[in-house]
Amino acid sequence: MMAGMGEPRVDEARAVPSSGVGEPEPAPAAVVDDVDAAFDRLYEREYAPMLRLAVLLVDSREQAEEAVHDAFARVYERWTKLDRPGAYLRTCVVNRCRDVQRRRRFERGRRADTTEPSSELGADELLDALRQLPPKRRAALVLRYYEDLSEADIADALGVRPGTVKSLLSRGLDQLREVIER
Amino acid sequence: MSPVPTDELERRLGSVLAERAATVTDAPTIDGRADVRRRVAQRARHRRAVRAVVVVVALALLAAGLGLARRGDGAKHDERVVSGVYTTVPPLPRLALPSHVGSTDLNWLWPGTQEVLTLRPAKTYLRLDVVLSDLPLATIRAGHVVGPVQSMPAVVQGHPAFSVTVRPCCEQFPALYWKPDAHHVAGLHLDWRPGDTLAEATQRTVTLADQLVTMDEDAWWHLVSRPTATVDFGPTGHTEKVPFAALTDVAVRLGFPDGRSIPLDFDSSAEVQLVLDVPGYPTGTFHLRTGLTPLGNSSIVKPSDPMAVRVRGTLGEYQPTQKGFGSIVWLDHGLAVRLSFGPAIVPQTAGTTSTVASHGRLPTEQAALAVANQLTTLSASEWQSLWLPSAVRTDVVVLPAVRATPCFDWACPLQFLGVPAPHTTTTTR
Repeated sequence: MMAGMGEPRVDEARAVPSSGVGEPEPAPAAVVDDVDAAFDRLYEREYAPMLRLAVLLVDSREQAEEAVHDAFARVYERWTKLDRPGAYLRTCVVNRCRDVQRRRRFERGRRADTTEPSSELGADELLDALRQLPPKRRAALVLRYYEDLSEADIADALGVRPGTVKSLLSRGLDQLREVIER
Repeated sequence: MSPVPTDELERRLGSVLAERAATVTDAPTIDGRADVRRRVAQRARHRRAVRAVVVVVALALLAAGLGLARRGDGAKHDERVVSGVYTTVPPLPRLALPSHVGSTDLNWLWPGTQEVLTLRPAKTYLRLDVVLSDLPLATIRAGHVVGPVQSMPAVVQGHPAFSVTVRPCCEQFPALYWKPDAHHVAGLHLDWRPGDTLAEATQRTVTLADQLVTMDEDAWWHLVSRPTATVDFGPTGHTEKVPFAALTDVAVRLGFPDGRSIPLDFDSSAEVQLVLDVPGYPTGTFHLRTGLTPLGNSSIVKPSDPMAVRVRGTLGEYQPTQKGFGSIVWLDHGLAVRLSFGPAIVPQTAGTTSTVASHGRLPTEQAALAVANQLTTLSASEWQSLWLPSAVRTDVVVLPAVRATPCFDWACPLQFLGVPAPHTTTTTR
């Protein structure tokens, strides 16, 4: 279970961006009589997008599902306190995925193995380059160019300042450019 | 080769990410909702466990804080006391008692025979915590301000004997006892009275300890250098029986400060008469019924008919200006008697029926016996007020052989301080 891992993370209880993640947002939980029903609707609507986002962040389908379900569990726990469960869910997914990446990089470091190119069919050099980025930089790129979030929303999701997002995106692109120009 | 334009790079990246995402099938490979609910329940259990740990820690911190707050009434006092803490404190013992202590005595001696205690050249303060597992938690604190710097060595090397004796079943006062060196012996008794719960006894003792800890130096010296009127030293003829029924062999030894320990020879009618004569103390004759019958000229005796040990004692003149002091500690009901005296006595009168020591010093171990016989009638608070000045210290130990372990071998730490052994005698008739 990834919940409660100790690294600094985005405050998932904060207000999160309203854009993205399937519009319209669910009604506030306070006005939903049946929490379970509302949660089930959120699950049906957001599971697939979140899974795809998680796969882009962690590559592994199994780990992505783990992260997404863990994020849903956190959303369920705080359901009555959330104004925008969908946005909160995305933040949780990103955090879980970053946990996975950090853990993976740590284990990789212990094995003195610095690269892990994908062997999946269809993987190209750009994806491989993306996999080599630091977790936060990779998350910024995915949120920007896949989720199409604004820099402000990315900043909220990652728990950083907008200026930092600019830096993350710029350096991420530079790093990708270096790889594909080799 | 020209660098890839950013627009082109962004377009390619978006395209690659979309293609990769499109390969992900939507259907979860596991039962999604059930898995989420399982995780929720698991996280709730985890949170409860963490919360419980946090509560326990918080309570422990609160208790510690309350204890500190109760110890003194101001920062000034705390600073004064704490400033004398040992710079090197051996690890405190943890005494584990069984749930049913019964008649079992647990006597524990500080294991670090090679310990070197470095005393700061100031007052010292020691806090002792005793954890009784499987019993209500008892924290017994004994605080001692032990003498000005000029009267104590900077370094005491040797055996910081430490004994904890707890006998919940016994109508006696278990002792929390500490003797850091020969000159400065302090004891604190767990005031355990019949019918007391451990918590009640502990509370009473802690209160007493707090009084000692918060006492200023003048009050301390007043306490330790002058017997109070609450102690009755008159003849008692005390006949309280000692619960020896469970014992098989009993060793009776007389210990000396130089480390010697000699057996006491008793016959069935033995009566040790000691003379005690201390200014301020009435002279008395005391009985100590040990329920022993000796085995000839041996240190091993077996319980049989009660044997009266008649004790009388006389101590010499006390010079309070010397600020020497000692303490009397009674360990185990009827089993161990100990008298500790400071270094500043000028003996005057020899015991009338005992052999006078070669240097004219009095057989203060006899006084120990004498005083010890009073202890069964004293409350713990009276005990605390029972501090005697004298020149030597002697341990008189009467203990069952079955547990005649080194923990009762009260080898006097005087030797570590270079103090010559006193001359003591005992008359047995």
